[in-house]
Amino acid sequence: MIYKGLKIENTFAEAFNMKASRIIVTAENDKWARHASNSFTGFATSVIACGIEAGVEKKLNKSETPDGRPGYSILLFSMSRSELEKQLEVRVGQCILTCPTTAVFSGINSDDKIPLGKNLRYFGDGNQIAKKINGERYWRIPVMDGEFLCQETASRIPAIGGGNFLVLSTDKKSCLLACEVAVNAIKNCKNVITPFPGGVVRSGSKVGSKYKSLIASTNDAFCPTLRNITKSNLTSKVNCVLEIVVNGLTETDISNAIKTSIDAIAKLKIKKNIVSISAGNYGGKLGQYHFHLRKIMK
Amino acid sequence: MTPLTITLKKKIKHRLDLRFLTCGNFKTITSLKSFYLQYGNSRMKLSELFSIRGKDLKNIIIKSSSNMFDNVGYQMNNMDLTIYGNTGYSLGKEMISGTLKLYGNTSDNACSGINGGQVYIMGNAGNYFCSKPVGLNEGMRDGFVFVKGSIGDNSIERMRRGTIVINGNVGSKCGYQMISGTIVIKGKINKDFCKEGKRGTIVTRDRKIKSLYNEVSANQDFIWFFIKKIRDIYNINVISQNNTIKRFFGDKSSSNMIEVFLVR
Repeated sequence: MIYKGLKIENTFAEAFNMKASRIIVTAENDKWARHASNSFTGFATSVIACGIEAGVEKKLNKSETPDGRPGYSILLFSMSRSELEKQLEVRVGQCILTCPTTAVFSGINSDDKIPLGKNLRYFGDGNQIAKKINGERYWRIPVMDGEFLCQETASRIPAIGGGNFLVLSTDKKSCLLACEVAVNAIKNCKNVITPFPGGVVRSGSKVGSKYKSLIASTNDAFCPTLRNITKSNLTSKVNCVLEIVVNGLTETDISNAIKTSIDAIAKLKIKKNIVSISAGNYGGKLGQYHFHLRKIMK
Repeated sequence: MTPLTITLKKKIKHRLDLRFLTCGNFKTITSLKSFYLQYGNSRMKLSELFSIRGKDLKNIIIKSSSNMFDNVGYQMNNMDLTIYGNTGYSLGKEMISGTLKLYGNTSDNACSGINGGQVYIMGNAGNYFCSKPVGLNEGMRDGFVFVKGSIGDNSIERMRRGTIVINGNVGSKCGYQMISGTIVIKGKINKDFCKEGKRGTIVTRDRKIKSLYNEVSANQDFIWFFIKKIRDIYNINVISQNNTIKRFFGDKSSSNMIEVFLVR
């Protein structure tokens, strides 16, 4: 299939059931809200070793936050409910509580509650103050710059992780530029994040390894340097492959994000250097969700 | 479904206990109409005293209410109740959830032992407003109460949780033994305010309170968050963005840990 001059391969991305939560981090100004958000979402690229996958969903205006200050909306995803709970608490405690002037609130509502400030309040050593407003409890923990305000609980909802597509290019420069444009386009999409650095992955992985202790290893079928020695999926024109991983709250959110980002690539002048758009999957046997690129781009 | 509208047919001479409206568990309108209530020394059918229209038993409107109506909204749970006129004793007593709106004044013991929900009193409330009911050791335990006018003496006794916003003045001995919760008073406070209090938050414009507490200059993120929340949820403007706020925390003479935000 050729979409606006861009070749879309007949393949699909394979994605998994995950658990997600959304929090809203606010601060005195955008700078400190950004510091806290970056710190919270650091080392949260892949559940393989980070526990969770997290990213900034969007920047929020003063009018969009619960306390009328600038803030960021963060989405976090995990394979297990308990890991999500653990990582949320640890990261809020170490990255947001510690950051000057910040406050944290739940950004989504469901019946499945997980602790946000519920246990962090003990940091107040008995001087913490609870306030219940309209059925929601908030904790005010005294800290050296005043008070850290946090909601008692956040919510946990079912979500999807691992939606992806691959950009196959003749050269590194074009591939990077295409991915940057694609990630920027995703930033305008709701309910999705791209958890990897800058939203882009260069180390796409396959399941298993020749080494018994490893659960994942390099995706040799898409490594240009191994084209002649492994069962490669790459033609001789391809010299660089980068992957964009999209986690989202629903199938529609991920499909929209993939469509928007490929559409953005198709508008680029350098698209002549993009050999094709492909996707990563495991043969369709592992993931519960399949995102067929050609169906999405129709 | 149209709300159930209850209108008094004639002026009454004796007090009426209307607690059955909110805790009677009526399944049909017919069973409500045929309900017998005590009127003086006789029993009368509800339909003999009131004209009843509408079908929704969870959304009730009382028109031409009288200050002879007691226990209106008693133990109300998951209902909407709108009252036009005054009410007697114990409005919204031990209320659990729902929304109660009164377009008039209410007598003593209003919102006593309230445990949740929202109450809007668009007039004044009498003495013992948000007091502790007989047999209980706490007054207001949760919920939101707004009073457009003033409240009487001995009000807001042993408040545990929740938010009270009073546009007018408060009587003497209010806020006695406050445990927690938030009280906003736009008018004047009276003598013995928040005596023997433990914790809780007071937002007031009355500078008299200043002498009793220690001034603590710290950031005021919480109070602005609280004000925004109250405006967003209940559409009530506690104070404007132009106001300046000073924070006081801890009583000078006792172990009282009450926090006061003085608005100027």
